[in-house]
Amino acid sequence: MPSPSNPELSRAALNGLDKIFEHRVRLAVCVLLSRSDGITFRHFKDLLEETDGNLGAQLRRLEDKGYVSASKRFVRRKPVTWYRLTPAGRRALRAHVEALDVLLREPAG
Amino acid sequence: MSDPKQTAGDLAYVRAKLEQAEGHDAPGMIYFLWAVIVLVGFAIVDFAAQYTAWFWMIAGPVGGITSFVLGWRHAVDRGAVSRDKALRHGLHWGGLLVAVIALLPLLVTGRIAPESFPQIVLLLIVMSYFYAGVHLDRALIWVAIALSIGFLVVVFVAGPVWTAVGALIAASLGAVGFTRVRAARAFAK
Repeated sequence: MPSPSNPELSRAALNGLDKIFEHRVRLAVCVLLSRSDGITFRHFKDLLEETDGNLGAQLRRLEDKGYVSASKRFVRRKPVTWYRLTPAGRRALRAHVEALDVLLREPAG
Repeated sequence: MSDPKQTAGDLAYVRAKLEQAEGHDAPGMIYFLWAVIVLVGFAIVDFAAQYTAWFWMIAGPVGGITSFVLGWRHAVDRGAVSRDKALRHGLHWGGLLVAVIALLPLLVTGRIAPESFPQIVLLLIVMSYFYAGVHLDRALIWVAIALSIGFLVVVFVAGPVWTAVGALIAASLGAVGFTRVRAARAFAK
């Protein structure tokens, strides 16, 4: 609900929120990727403590949206999938975080 | 829009995962490597002082490059790489090497006494480990504390004390190394 203190600002911030980041795993994936040059599926699985199926589904959603890109490389002769945040993903994350920041700073309505 | 409580919960979740991700950067092997280098390099000051400069001129850069390679390989094996982080570590420790080299003109021109040179280098190392503890890996503050004690010992205690000081510093590096190995095993479970 828009706050009475600055309804225009709140409405703009609400519009700035990206629905894809309303799932905490997808948000965590993108935040972690924003601070690195590449993270593997296995590292995400160990860190986020998700099942293969659930994690794979969330990563696919992000890939379909164009926020994350995946590439397979060999590490010690084993194929490993690496994920990176795309420029579009970086922009979307920044916009979402800025919108959250505005909303969280608005006094409770 | 999602419920504010859920949003707060999500943000707390992300923050916790970020902290977990930052928790164990450098592999234990790097600390063990430097524990051995320090043990040998400090003992040389007491027992074969004429080789001290040669040892550190070789072991310092070689140890640094080896550490960088070990760190990068660890990051790849762990599945999370950051060029920015690697650059930060490289610049930090590379800066220490540059500072030590920058002291040499002062030594050569007689502006600092040869017998004071090792203490000044040790002080530079204390500061490097302290700032590494602040900016790179909090555990290194303990090594900085051990180094500070070592610095005070070599300044105020006469006699062949470098070996004992090196053992103290090597022990602190080894202890940090073991905590890193344990943390990495716990994470991978």
